[in-house]
Order: sequence, then structure tokens, then C-alpha cells
Amino acid sequence: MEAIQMNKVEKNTDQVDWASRIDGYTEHTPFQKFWRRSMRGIFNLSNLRRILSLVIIVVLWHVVTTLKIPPFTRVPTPYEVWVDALSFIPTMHCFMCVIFSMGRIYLGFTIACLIGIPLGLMMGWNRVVKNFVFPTFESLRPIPVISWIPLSVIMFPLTEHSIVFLVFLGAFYPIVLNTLLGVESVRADYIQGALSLGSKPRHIFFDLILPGALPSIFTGMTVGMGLAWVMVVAAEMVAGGYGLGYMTWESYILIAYPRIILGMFTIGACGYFSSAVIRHLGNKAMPWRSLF
Amino acid sequence: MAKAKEGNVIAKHVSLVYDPLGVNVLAVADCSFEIEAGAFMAIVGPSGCGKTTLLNMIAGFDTPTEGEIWVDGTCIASPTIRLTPGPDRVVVFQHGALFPWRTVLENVCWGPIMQGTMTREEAVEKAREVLKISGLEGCENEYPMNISSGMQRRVEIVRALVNEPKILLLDEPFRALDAMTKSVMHQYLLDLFDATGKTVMFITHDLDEAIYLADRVFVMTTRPGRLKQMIEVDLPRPRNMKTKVTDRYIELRNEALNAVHEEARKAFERGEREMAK
Ligand SMILES: Nc1ncnc2c1ncn2[C@@H]1O[C@H](COP(=O)(O)OP(=O)(O)OP(=O)(O)O)[C@@H](O)[C@H]1O
Ligand SMILES: [Mg+2]
Repeated sequence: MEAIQMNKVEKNTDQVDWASRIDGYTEHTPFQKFWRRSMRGIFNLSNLRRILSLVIIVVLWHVVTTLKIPPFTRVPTPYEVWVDALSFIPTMHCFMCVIFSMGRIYLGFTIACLIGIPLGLMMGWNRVVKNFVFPTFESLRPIPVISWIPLSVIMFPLTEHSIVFLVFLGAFYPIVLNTLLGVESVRADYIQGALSLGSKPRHIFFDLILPGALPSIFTGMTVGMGLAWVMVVAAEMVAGGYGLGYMTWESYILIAYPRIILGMFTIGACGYFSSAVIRHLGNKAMPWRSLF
Repeated sequence: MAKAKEGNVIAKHVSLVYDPLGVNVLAVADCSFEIEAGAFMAIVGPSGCGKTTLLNMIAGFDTPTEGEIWVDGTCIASPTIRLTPGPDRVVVFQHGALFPWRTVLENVCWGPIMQGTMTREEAVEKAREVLKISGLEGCENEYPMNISSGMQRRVEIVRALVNEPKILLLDEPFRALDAMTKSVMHQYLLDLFDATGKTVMFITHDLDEAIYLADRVFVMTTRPGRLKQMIEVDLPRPRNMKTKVTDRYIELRNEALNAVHEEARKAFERGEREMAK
């Protein structure tokens, strides 16, 4: 039995302090060690390159807008946007815009998950369900979701409802498709193994299919979130109301150009935040994968 | 544990034809054999000869097109009797099928808890015990991705064993392992076999491995797989590394190699004749 212990291989090579293995390298005090570590964490070459790339973009933006090179003749400079940001961001108006857009996203996206994930799971699990649902699904999918805007405005008496519906629709397709894909990608070996351990369909569904499809489900949610933001902005621009999309479009009408850019950035930031939330939830739900 | 008296498997003229898209593929042709209760049988054959197919029929994943499979005196599978997979015949797969989303301990406990044969506490206790015997203490809470491949295979065997199967079906479980780990695993399996006395069907394409481990080795031909040669291995148990240098082992091995080589040559020549036609 001792021999069996043999192949416990040394792991976690990424935690080895490589610097200390280089000849002639010595750590003197704990503080030096700490300093070195944290500096290496922040000011390493990769991070410097990343920061540099952002700086270059801003400088380029500044150059083309101050020199008024077409098509940037009427685009505000970074400085103008910065000044506008300082006056706009602390206002109640800005806060309400974010709240409205976020609220619509939250509602539409949650409904899309609540309907889309079970639908995808059922389609992958049961051939009869797939036979019934998939053709309809696939024939509606090529229609760009944006083109649903007029119809949804007619369908729902309240603007709010039609915007939430459009957000739902945007997120729905990728969520269903990826969930279905996830179910179908669960290895047959796992199912056979579970069967040979004596499992019933219920166990296979909840203990194998669901966790096996989870990575794909989260991919679908990430893509769906992206499309949800596309839809909320487009719908707000057309249907009005409050919200970041509406604010951006209104700024164009009011010839407040720096605010257009500000609106775009805010939308980007909110989109990034939403994706980060999903990523975080994903890592929480799939602890076996966060170790990759 | 006492030697189990159950787990006798008999295959009577078993054949299986796959017909994907109407093209008939004869994967296993007219195989007959018996594995006595508590015996270790190895099946050796070249890649694609139908070893996995044969095992799948006993496991209940495929139904034989012809022939019958008997376990402990009852016919469990035939063209008219569809066998369902069950925990009395647990399979360990060629490519490994530990659930990546469950920790080692959860993987091992899963079978008994799900079948309801044990409460959660009992299952956990039993699993810890078997893991400990197998030298897997301390990695119960790791995910399968984070342990070495040799350990993964051991966990998978343990996962099968906690269900107290009558028959253990091992499909090339050590194929992907390096030579060192493999020999450790051989010893582990031999110790386990001596301790539990389960019926084992072990599939491999490595003749050495088969002779070292088994009581009886069946050699299969290339597709369609038939049983061509039966080698009785009368090496005494318990076996260990020293067994491999005994005269009897070398004798058996040479005998088997000659037979298999002859078989391979025949198959090759027949193939050439068929090509020439
Ligand atoms: N589902 C299937 N449909 C059609 N043909 C199949 C199917 N499964 C296996 N076969 C064919 O049956 C033959 C036997 O396959 P099997 O998997 O049993 O081989 P094997 O001996 O286990 O090979 P290996 O050593 O590579 O695992 C192969 O030639 C394969 O092409
Ligand atoms: Mg095989």
C-alpha cells in the first residue's frame, strides 16, 4: 500500500516563487518581500502594456478631434467629455437613467432566464418537446430582434412593457440555444456510468444533465446579457421614456454632443458590470471550474 | 471479506450487429465463454475488435442481436430480453467518467445514496473507509480535475466497489496511464481482487497485463470479434512484481505471444487474400 502513495505528484507550481529560484536572488526583510510582491502584482510588464494601450487610444482621440480630421469634425474632445461627466454624473437625472435601464434589463433578462433555461433543458432532454418547439424556434430566430420593435409597440399598450419584452426577446434566443447545446454536449459516458450505478431518470437530469449543461448555460447568459443591452438601448431610442438609450438620443436632439459620448460610456460601463455579475454567479455555481 | 459465491457470467453464442444508416457492422460474432463466480477474466484483442461492445452487452447498454447472456443461472439478456444497466454490474470506462462537478467523496457516495441503499451518513462513512484502504485519504474534497490520472482511476474503481456489485466490468481502465503508475495500479487491483473476491471482467489490449492479472485470458480476433484462444493462467495468488520473473510466467507469456502472433498472422494473410480477390 505504501507504493500507492507514490504518484501523489507535487502540485500547484503556480504558487512557487520563481524569483527565489534564480541564482543570486536573495530576499532580505519581510517588508522587501511584501514590497516586491505587490509591485510585481501591479507594475509588471503586462499591466504596463495594458495601460499604455488605453493611453494611446485617448491620445489618438484627442489628436483627431482637436485637429478636426473628418469624420471627427464634430466629435467632442476627451476634455469636453470629462468636464461634462463631472457636471452630469452626480445628478439625479443620471442616476434615474441608470436605474431605469438597469431595471428593464433586470426584468427582461430574468424572465428570459426563467423561461429560456427550462425550455432549453426540456428540448435537450425530451425529443418530443424538441420536435414540437425547435422548428418554430428556428424559424423565428433569423428575424433580427431589432425588427420586432414596431410590432412590440403595437402589441403592448405601455412603453415600459414593450421595452421589457424586447429585452426579453434579445436575451431569450442565445439562452435557449446554449442551454440546448449544453445538454447535448454532456458526455454519453457519464450517462452510461450513472445508469450502471443504478440511477433513475430524475437523478440523471438533476445530477448530470443540469451541472453538465451549466457552463454552456452561463455562456448563453453572457451572450444574452450583451443582446439585452443592445435591445434596451435601441428600444429606448425609439420608444422613449427614461433610460440611458433615451438620454443618449435626446442629447443628439439637444445638440449636447459631449453627453452622447458620456451616454455611450455609461452604457458600456453598465454592460460590463452586468457581465461581471453573471461571471461571478457562474464561478459561484460551478466551483469545479474556477480552478482551471 | 469471504469469497462471493455469486457473479457467475455465461455468454452463449453472442453476436451483435450495429446498423447505423442501414450499413450492417458485425462487431461481435458468436462469442461463448463462462466467467466463474469470483474469477478474474481478461479479454485481449486489437483495437476495434469489439471488446467494448461485448462488455456493453453484459452491462446492459446494448442488446445482443443473437445469443444469450446468463448471470447466476438466469438468462438476463437475449434478442428478446432487453437488459437494463444496474448496480450489480458496474462499469469503469475506458476514458474515465468521474463526474467533474462532484468532489471525490461525492462521486463515491453518489451510487448508494441515489439508490437509497444507504443513508447519507452511512455512505459517507463507507466511502471514507474504502478511500482510505485505497490510499486516497486526504483528497476526498478535491475535484477529479485536481488529482492525478492514476488517482482518478482508483477513485473510479472505488466508486464502483461501494455499490457492492456482483461483477466489476473494467474497460481498459489503465490505458492512458504511464508505466510506473500502471504497475502501481496493477498491484492495487490485485490486492483488491484478493480482498473482495468479486467477479472481474477486465478488457485490455496488453497481453502482459492480462496474464499478470487474470485467471483466464480470452484472446479475440480482429473484427468481427470472435473468441479465438483461451489461456488458463495458473500462476499462484497473491501475485506481485516477483511473479513477473518466475519461469511459469515467462513460459505462459511466450506461449500466449506465439498463439496471438500466429492468430494475427493468419488474420493478416486472410486479409491479403481477400484484398487480392
Ligand atoms: N455505435 C456504433 N455504431 C456502429 N458501429 C460501432 C458502434 N460502436 C462500435 N462500432 C464498431 O464496432 C467495432 C467494435 O467496437 P468496440 O468499441 O467494441 O471496439 P474495442 O475492441 O473496444 O476497441 P478499442 O480497443 O479501440 O476500445 C468497431 O469497429 C466500431 O467501429
Ligand atoms: Mg473499447
